[in-house]
Amino acid sequence: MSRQILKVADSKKVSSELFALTYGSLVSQILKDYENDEDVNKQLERMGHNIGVRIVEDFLARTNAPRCHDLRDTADKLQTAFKLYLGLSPVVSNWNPAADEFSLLLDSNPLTEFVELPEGHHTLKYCNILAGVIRGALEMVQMEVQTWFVQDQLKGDNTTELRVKFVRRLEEAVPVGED
Amino acid sequence: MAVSVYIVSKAGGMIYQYDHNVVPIEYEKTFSYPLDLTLEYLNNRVLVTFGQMDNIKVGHIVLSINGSPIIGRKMNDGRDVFDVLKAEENYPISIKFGRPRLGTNEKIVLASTFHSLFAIASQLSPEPHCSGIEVLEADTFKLYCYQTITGTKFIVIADPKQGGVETFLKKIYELYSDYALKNPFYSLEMPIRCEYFDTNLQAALEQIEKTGLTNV
Repeated sequence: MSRQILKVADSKKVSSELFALTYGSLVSQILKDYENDEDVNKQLERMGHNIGVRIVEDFLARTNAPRCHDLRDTADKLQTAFKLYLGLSPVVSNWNPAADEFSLLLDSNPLTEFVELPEGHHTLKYCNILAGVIRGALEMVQMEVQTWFVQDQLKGDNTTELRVKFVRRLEEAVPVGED
Repeated sequence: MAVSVYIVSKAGGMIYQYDHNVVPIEYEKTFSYPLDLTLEYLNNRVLVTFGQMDNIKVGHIVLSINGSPIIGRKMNDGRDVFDVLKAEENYPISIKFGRPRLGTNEKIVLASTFHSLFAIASQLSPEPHCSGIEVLEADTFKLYCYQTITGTKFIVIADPKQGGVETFLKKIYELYSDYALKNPFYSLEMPIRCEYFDTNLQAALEQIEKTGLTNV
């Protein structure tokens, strides 16, 4: 079964360059529309959230993944999802002692392949859509998380670091038959 | 082979329904006076309650008289069905009976009833961590239900002998995530009106019918 699925997935593959350029034009358009970096960040996050609540179904349907019962599972699943949708394997690290917070380190990021941030946009979080996608997707599987970028290669950091913090389980939204 | 597909949202609302190859059961017969069937008016329908004969079964409803359809208990021309059947001068009379078809509202009610049943089943379970109803079996059909982690339910009603329904449910989930959710004009939790979804679902149904398997 899984081989078949991969075949189907393969046929839908597009070049990462097309994807990067499309995303680039999206960001530059939003920049024109809003002018203020903070608003752009917020907008990208919102769009990501909308993508996340839909893409999670695709992920679940393709992978048959069971429900996660701890955040380490979730981190693994996120890694799988990055591989599936962006073709890269982020490193999961920097766990806090309570194990409710971790970082995804993205060494190469297909979204930023041709990007140099212009002057005066040091607060722009170019990839903020990813933070929104993660938040939206996890919300659909009844986990509330916070996601934010702590390091960004576009701003001269060594790596791009996306922090994920578990806030709570959305108990009221858990479907029946699971506790 | 008749197959029905329902999709129920996390909140228990029916967001999709499709009947595949459901042949309406209809039977027309000419009667002479007096009518040897007991008819009653129930739930907005004229129902056979006693006096089963040939293909006319208890529970069938009157669809039309002399070719003109019945709405509620009234004929097209406004006459009451029971008055027409009582009068001897109207005989011989041709009456069409049929199995009542579910209206959209009834389907919505049934879908949300099942949603509650599913919840009750998981609470009644003597063992912890019960999944809720996965299969419900009757003599003429089997109902299969698959609930995703996000809470959406996919329900398929099929012949008891139909194989491969479990994989077919997964297939519907894939079709749903591909053709319903990736449509930017579809909003979550709302009824699915996407043509691609319909056509792909029908293709999958035809395949399962032919081979009993889905090429997932």
